[in-house]
Amino acid sequence: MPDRVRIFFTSRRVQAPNFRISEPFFVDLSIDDLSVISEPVKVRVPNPQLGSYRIHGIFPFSVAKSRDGSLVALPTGWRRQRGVDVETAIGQMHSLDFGESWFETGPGPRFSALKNEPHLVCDASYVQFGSEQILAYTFGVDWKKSLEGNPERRYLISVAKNKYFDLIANGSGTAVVPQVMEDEVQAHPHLLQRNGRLEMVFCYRRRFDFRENAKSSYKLGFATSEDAINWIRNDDLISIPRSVGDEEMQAYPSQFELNGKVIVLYNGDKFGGSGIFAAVKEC
Amino acid sequence: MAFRIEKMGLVASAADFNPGWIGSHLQAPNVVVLEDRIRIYFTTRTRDGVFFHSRPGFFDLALGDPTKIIGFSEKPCLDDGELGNFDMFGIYPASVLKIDSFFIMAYGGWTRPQDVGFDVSIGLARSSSGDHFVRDFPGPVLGKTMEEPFIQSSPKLRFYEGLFRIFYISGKSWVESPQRQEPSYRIRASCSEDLVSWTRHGKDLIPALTPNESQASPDVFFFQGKYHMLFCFRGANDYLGGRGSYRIGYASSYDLVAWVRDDEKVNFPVGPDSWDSEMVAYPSVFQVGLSWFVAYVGNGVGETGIGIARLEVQRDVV
Repeated sequence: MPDRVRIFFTSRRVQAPNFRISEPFFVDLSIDDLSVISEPVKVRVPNPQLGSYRIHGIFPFSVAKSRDGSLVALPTGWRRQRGVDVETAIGQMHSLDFGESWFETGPGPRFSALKNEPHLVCDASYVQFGSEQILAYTFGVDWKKSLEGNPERRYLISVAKNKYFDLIANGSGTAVVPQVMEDEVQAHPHLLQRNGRLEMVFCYRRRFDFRENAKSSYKLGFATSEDAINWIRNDDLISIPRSVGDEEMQAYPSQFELNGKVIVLYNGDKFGGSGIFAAVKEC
Repeated sequence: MAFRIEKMGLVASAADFNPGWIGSHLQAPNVVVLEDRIRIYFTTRTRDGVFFHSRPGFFDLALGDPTKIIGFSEKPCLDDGELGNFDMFGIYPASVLKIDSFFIMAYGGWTRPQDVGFDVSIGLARSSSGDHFVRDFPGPVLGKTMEEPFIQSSPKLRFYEGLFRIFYISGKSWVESPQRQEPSYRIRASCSEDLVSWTRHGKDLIPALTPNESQASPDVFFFQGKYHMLFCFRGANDYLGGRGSYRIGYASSYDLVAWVRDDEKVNFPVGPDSWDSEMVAYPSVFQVGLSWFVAYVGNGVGETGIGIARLEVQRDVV
């Protein structure tokens, strides 16, 4: 929006012990100094029907501008499971009022488990790049049980593209971002088209022990690509000094250009429990 | 054209086979006619805690006498999917197509979400022997889409007019009944050149008789210049033996897209034997020589077993 920066985020509401439901909100920041200038507003999305891919909430909401300037959301819907914690899929919603209310063209997800992506299709980011529509997302590779016997998931980042967004299909199971550790888990890619190439911020962690142990927890990653297929990873280009509130983890980044600078937003400790942080990229 | 059903009786029940993996039911028959035998794939039902668990197996019938059992699978012909996958909680139903020297299985893989009792997506597996199958993909080929939000199940894999076809059912809604949640689903179709990329018709093929009617087991066969479909249908409530119980319906089409329903043209009765006195369901049509047959389940959706009926053309009365 011309006079403000609107940040969409999700918040957790406790439905029952150990059962939280995430819902999308937005908050507005000043275009001058990124100070908060509005109360958080809960966005209006259609109620999910029983059996829906998002019956147990939305996280993340993942908003982008579509080609006609209206807003498109690619929300990750959560559905609690037996056997493993959760299954996710990516929906598609549209807004004509800058994100206050949203409608969907069908009750099901736009991208979900398919072929070589057996589960946990989530965390969408959409951008136009030249004449192509690019979708970055993550897909589940496998679930493995920890020493305590708890199934823990592993997902990696993939990209799908097409000249037309409606024809983009997932399911290849191709991880596009090089991994820097064994059993690495990658999440929440966010794309920016800049200087004729694609820049991706994302986060990564170890499969096990990431909730309590800072060494295993989320860190920020960075990769670039000329063609959306081949990616060069260089995490040094998104090295943000740790401070109070993000000492243990930096996670779920997104990025945008403002007044010629790239701003990176991300979550700090406790998966957003310490709030949303901003950093200006030196480039 | 109308058909006449001549029942040949119950041919197999779970008690006929000893191994414990079969459990209490023989469900959802799907027939493949081989050179020397008739193979009936079915799925089992065992109890796993509070849930039922199904896996695919088969038994073989003599070509010359489709009531005589001559073989049987000692173990499941496809294992459950991996932890967290769409088929980790079992497989039901499983339809097999033999094409050239390969057997291809389209199957419903089960998950157990927390909001409702189950969800299903359709996967593919292959075999050179027909005895044991290996998955094409760890994920489904027909899963959820914006227009088809849950329960893609009851696949029937066929090859017509140069394309692979999966006739299947797609969930419309979950209906809260006094006893439990029940899904409502309708018959749809998809096609593929390569078994990898699938195009969905995106429309319900068969009109429903009541608003919450559920349809399943859409088996299509080609006969005398026309496509014919047998399927089963039920109401949302009281369908386990009650008045809303499964019956077998009929529709026909010249192009596999536009279907005309006319259940009277088959008029598949329940009984008079006790094993199928309450319901007839999950038809699978097959041809041996010039004769056409239907395998189907009776009471308890397979609890009493699988029977065979002869499907004969009834000459139109002029």
